Amino acid sequence: MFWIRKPASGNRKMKSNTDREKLIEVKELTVRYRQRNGFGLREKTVEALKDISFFIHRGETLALVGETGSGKSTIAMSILHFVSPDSGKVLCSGEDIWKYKRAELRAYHRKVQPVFQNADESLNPRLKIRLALADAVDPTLSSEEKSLRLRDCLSSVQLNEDILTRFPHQLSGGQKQRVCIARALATGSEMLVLDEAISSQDLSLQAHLLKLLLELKKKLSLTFFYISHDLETVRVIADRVGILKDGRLIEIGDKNEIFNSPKESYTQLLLERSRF
Amino acid sequence: MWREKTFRFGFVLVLAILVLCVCLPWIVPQDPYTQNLEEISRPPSFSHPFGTDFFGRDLFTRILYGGRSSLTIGLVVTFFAVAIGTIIGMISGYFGGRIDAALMRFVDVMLGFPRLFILLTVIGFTRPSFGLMLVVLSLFSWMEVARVVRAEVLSVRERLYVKSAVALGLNRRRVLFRYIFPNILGPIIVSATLMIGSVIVIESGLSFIGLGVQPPDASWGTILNQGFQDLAGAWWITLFSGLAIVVTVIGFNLVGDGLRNVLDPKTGERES
Repeated sequence: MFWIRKPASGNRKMKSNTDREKLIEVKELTVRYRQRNGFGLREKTVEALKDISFFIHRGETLALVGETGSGKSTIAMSILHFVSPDSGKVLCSGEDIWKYKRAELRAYHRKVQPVFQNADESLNPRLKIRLALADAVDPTLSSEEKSLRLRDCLSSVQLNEDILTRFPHQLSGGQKQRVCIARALATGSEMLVLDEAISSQDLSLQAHLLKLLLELKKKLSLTFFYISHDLETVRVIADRVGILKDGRLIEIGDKNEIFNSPKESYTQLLLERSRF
Repeated sequence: MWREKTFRFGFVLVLAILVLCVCLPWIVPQDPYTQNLEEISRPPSFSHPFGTDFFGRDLFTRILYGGRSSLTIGLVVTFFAVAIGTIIGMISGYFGGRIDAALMRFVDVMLGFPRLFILLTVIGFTRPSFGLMLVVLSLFSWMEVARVVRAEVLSVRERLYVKSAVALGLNRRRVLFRYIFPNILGPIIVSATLMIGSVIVIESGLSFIGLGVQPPDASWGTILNQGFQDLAGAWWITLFSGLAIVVTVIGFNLVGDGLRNVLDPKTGERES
């Protein structure tokens, strides 16, 4: 796989948390949504995120857990530069992503790629897979290099080349999600924002995708921001875990710390519920 | 799509009219302009299925030639109006903010003018001609399309595949034309098909009052006007030219309605 980004430092030893580079840092992020009533006369403000601060180290997997409506996806959308903060910052390697110029933003987008829950909705229904993936590949490459890269992308997510000529509706749910992952990798991304990326699949497929993600992470030294309501998958994939409740980050820490000795009663409740 | 009865019926109707008008010289040997003073105002007969007009010209031939003008105006005006409306609607919907507000207020202003009054004023100040009618109708017919396209873009741009495309670092033009445009094509085709009928009606109206196609050139409106001068004596002129307008407009509207049913996931199967 010639195209794959070289790991930042090949066989480095795991540094302590304080020494490691912060790829993404979220500082005091607050996001409000404005809702209008039926006649559009009165405006109501809903605070989706309140004063959220955390960071993601290069090469780690930070998982964010919370119930529906707790603000998980809003954080993902802010990191992906789709939802602007009302206050606070999102920094990438120390630079505020909301101050990027257009070219810098494009480069940032290619570096931080999303994989959404709904693979059906994530692929343009009018575009064959070959074109969908080709759009992700660096446009400055020659056509030979591009096709080689496409093949590499597909093999890295264990898909056959024959799907290249198909439309998204001709693929199964699992194949579509693999195509989405391949597309996210084809840009040469350093980080994947996995927003409930495997939640909608059946259990056996979830296990396959988890294994695949772990392999890719190891092989490509990727950073994952993994959002889920499912603690079991979080236990497998995460290095650190954050717990979100009503738009507030109530607890964040090492995976073992959160799973074995949670401090907050809400975290304990979530863990108890997940055992059933 | 072919299973949709409305579409099928409309399509056959429109196709029949188009084939008749396009293949005209091979179907009817008579010249639409040659006058025959011996056969003035003859009712429908075997040699003249739609009768003849006040100058002894074969009405069937005239109506088919008139169809060429009316359909040309309908199709050309729709093409330009849809092109203008699509471009303005896409810019407005995708960029949003001040650009959207400015363009939509412009659309409101354009919609605020009574279209027929504007057409009459513009054509009244100049010499009526085929080209002028094409230009004026195109410039005053795009607003509805712009609104439909804007609404569709607003909905499609929130889809995850568009967000994914933006996240790939693609430029705006590529996102618009590769990811948004193909997915709003259905509603554009539907409004275009429905617009053809309404443009034909407006053209017929203008030609009827003498501000559209000018005699001796034939158009359904001018023939209708001619027939109106002696409705009791030569009823067939009004009847057949009126029928031509009605059947064509119904045909295009049925195709439009049928397409809407096919392309709307709530009422039919989605095209794929």
